[in-house]
Amino acid sequence: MNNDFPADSHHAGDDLVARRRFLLRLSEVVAGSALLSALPWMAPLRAQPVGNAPSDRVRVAVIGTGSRGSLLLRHLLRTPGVEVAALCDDYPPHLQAAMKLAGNKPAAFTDYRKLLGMQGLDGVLIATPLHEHAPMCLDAFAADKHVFCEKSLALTIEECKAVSRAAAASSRVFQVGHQRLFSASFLHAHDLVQSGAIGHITQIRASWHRNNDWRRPVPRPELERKLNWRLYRASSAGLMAELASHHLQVANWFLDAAPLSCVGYGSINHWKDAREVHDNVNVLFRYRDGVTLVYDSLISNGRHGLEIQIMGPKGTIEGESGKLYFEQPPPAPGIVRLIEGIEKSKVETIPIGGPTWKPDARQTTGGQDLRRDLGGDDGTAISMAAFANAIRLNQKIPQMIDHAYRSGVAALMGQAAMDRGGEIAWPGDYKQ
Amino acid sequence: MFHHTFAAMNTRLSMVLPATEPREGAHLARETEALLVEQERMMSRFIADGDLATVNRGAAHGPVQVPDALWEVLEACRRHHELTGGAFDIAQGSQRAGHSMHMVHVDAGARTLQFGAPGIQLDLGGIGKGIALDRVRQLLLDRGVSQAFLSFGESSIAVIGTHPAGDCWPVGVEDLFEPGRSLHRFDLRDSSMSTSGNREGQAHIVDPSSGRHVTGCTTMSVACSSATDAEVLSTALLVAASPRRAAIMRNYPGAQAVQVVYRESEGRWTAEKNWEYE
Repeated sequence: MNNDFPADSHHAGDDLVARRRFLLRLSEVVAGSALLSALPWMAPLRAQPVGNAPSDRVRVAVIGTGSRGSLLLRHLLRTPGVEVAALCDDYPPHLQAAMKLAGNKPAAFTDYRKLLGMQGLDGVLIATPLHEHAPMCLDAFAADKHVFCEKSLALTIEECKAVSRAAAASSRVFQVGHQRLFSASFLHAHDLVQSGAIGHITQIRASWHRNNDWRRPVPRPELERKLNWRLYRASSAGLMAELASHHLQVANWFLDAAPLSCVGYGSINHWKDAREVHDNVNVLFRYRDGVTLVYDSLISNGRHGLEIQIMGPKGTIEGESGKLYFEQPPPAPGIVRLIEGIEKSKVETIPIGGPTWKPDARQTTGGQDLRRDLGGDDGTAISMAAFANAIRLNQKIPQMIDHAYRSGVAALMGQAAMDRGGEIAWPGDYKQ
Repeated sequence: MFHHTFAAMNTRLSMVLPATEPREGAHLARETEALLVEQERMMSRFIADGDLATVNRGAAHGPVQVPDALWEVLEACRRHHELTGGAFDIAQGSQRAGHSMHMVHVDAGARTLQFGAPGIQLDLGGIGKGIALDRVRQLLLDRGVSQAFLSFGESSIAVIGTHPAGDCWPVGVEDLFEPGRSLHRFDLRDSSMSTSGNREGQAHIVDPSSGRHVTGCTTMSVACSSATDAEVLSTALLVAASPRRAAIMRNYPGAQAVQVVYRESEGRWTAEKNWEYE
């Protein structure tokens, strides 16, 4: 399927015309692919991009216009049939910058509750600090809005359950900001795993390494906890929620399960600057069938960067670099033809003799490329289109809640394991 | 049918067993992999504690004891050196003019070996895959396999029986510049084929008479019953001057050979059969 995935790389998003053309092609591909159609969150993308008629327009608001929120805003401004009706932030410089980006057309709010009372608003996108996700999601569902919530889901397991229950009970759309669900290379990787290309998954290893203090500049000391909310436990679950949750989501997706339990160690061993969250996290998640996810993240060394390695007896997929490596070399084309001929009881001359094949040929050691993400988009642009279409169709995306809940809870299990020591068990489904 | 391709001896081995059940095939593949690990350990110059590497390190300084399996291989090499009039020579590891197997002193009684000149290195690159492939074929025959197509890096082929839908395994010498096209056909039955040569810009075969690499884009393909003989001949015929080739072939009854020479003209490569022996 992935050879058909639109490669209109300039660019999934430079302008509205290009984005519309890209989404049109994407709608055809999704409709024509059994594999993509089988993924419920791709269903909204089967709808063709709409025109400019007011009846086609969905009206959304972005709550939280910091770095992530303003990126979502940029994509929304180029998504066909989307009107950004309002923006909300309680930090004026972020709100002003976002308003400027949107041509000062949206209504501006500093209190999201007032925004939720706005007439004619269909949905909200929440890109605020982690501790605000749950109250905002719950209020938005109570106001009968469609909700897109950035990852990770919430600050506590109880909150994760409450938001998931509210999302399940609501007739409105819920989507979580796990853009790898819409990434061409991760969709290709999932397809390969499903088709048995690497055999059954025996281990997943993931890591996210950076070398920086993870701080934002703070103009006045009293803004420290507001702008550097990631560093304090009242507002953040640290690296587990902000980084690990992405790979936990991929692991849960590819293993089609939540983790059974986890153990881990973490500490602050480098950035000893009064922050409260670990600067290195090291966790093991146990899944069914004896499969383990080995995860670590640190912000004191960037050499190994970002990667998730999905391993089976026949091969390895490296999701972030978009590579597939087989444990054994592929047979020569002549051997493939011979095998096909034998299967059809057909005798053909086997073209084969030449100087000895060497394994240092690039196609073996360099791995095979997975389908590349589009024009540098990691799935975020497509996920905005999916959200807009789902609102327009008023069509819920059932598995989204599970993706959000499982990864959000797994991140918090990892943090709990490091905080308390010992093994932390999966806390059960949100329905319980 | 069972088929399997795996990494072995710095290349890949493909086994296609049309009349073998997958479970039995998987068992045979594991046995084959283990056999090739053993063979590589014995014959590789590059496995530091392997048999050949140990001999290469020690034999310049005095007589070195040679393990039995490697001794048999070296005996075969000496025989082929004679049969090819010196065109096949494993003492070319250091690529020096004048180096030859004659400079390797052998004590057959004590099974020791000593290099008679500094810098001599033994290299089984021109025979090792053939020896290993003959062992694999014998293993499969011993296990009752009646049909097999074995490809070692595509340069050494050995077969058992015939194609299930035919009376032989028809194997083509593939055009290096037009993959999938056959330039010459050998009909293999319980026999082997080997191809040696250079791809464009490559040179790795040493001419013992000069110590220099064979250059130019050309291949030599040989079909005969033993994979070892086929591999020896494909290398030896490539370095032997044309007038000597027929004499070498007469020492290997039943062997067939064809040389393909590739020439470039205005960016296009054309293939031509340059020499043939039937």
